[in-house]
Amino acid sequence: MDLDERLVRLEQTCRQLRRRANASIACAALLVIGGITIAAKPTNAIDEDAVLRVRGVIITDANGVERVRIGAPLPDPMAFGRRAERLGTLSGILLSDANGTERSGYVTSDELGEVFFTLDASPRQQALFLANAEGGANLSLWDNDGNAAQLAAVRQPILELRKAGKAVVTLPAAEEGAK
Amino acid sequence: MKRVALIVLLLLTARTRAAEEAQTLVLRGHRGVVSSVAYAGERIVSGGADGTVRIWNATTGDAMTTLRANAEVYALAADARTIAAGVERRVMLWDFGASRARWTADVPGYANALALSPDGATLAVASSDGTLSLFATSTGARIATQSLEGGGNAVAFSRDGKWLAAGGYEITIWRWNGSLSEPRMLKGHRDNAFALAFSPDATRLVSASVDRTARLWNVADGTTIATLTTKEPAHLKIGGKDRSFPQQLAVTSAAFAPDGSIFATAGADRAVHLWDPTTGAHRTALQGHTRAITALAFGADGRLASSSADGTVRVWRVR
Repeated sequence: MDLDERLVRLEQTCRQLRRRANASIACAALLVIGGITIAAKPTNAIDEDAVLRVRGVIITDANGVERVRIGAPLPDPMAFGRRAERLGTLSGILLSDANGTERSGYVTSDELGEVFFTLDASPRQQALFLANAEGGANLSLWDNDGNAAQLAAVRQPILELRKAGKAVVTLPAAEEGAK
Repeated sequence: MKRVALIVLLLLTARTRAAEEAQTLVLRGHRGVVSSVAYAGERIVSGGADGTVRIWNATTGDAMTTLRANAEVYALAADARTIAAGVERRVMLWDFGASRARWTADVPGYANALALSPDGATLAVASSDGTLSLFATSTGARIATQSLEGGGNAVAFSRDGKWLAAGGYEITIWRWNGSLSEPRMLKGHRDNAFALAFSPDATRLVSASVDRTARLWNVADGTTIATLTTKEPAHLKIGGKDRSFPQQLAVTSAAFAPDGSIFATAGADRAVHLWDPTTGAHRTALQGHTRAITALAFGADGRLASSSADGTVRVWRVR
């Protein structure tokens, strides 16, 4: 092999090496850009520090019936596929039964500032545990036959028991409470 | 003891078989609570919390059309020409065959109960705020508004078109001849009536209430003929365990058969109860729904459709 031939081969090898080097640089650049893009993109991984800021969350069962709602405000109450008017605006948590009928709430009232917890039969309230914004609280229990029990602490302790709608125990007694 | 158990088993088996024979169709397609059902000639119409009104072939059970209300549907009324739906705080009316509502009108509360007059000219709407609104079906114009003493969750026209009943805690009956007159209050329920139905001869009115009773009323004098309560089922053995079910639950729906030979009530106990309209005697219970029943409607052929929170409409042969 003479000198000219060797020079030609050397030049060819140089060109090949340069092309490979350029290709390698391009690949490396693509990898870097891809990596940055993937790193910047949101993933399915749960960010434990994230805060979900929404007005409401609805959880439905397998039949599509609404069972749990967190809301501010909460919707009017549902019973057997119909809605009724709610007295005032409430925010908090509602539980509904398999018929979609509202059965419980743990809520605050916008108008009066009360916070309360209710347990309902289908569809009437049977238990209420309430605290006033200005102080004082009461626990009330009812059934469907006019029987009721109320225990309250609002400026004084109060206990009242009703049987079939008629008060059978009232403490303090009416005169005592009036003093 | 074994003999008693055998008799009970045989009775239960016979009842189940009777219910299976009585049930002819199960209509599936809604998602969530199906709140209402109505017959419209050879079609059944249903509406629900999924915001749709679905039209079914009443003979085959095939789904025919789905109308989009795009909000919760609480009540329906239909005849051979039109479908009206209570959709949140408004009423929508469609002509059969049309996909767009002919008119929409607002009402002051949730449109929880609807009734079409027998001539199809008037639509009555009872809303949750205690208002009865009357609309001309041809134009959607409001004809009259009436305050209801005990809330508004139920409304019905008599089949002769001479009476209109509506209410909630308290029920009012008016004479109807294009306007309301001679109101009479029916008092007795301790909670909201969710459904009202006149007998075909308009001498009886049945009301279904969430106070856990249905009442059969004498239309002429407003007296209660019978207070109807269901005492069954009480105790069942399931999976080797005794399970006790409440004996009385809310009654949400009522309908009279077109020949007046029977009427039906249903509610939270998941059963359709059939009653004698003369005596108020309980005839039988039809089981099949797996959640509370929300509405009942008789077809002209005497078949009965029931809608339920289980997402289905069931059709029953009741004689």
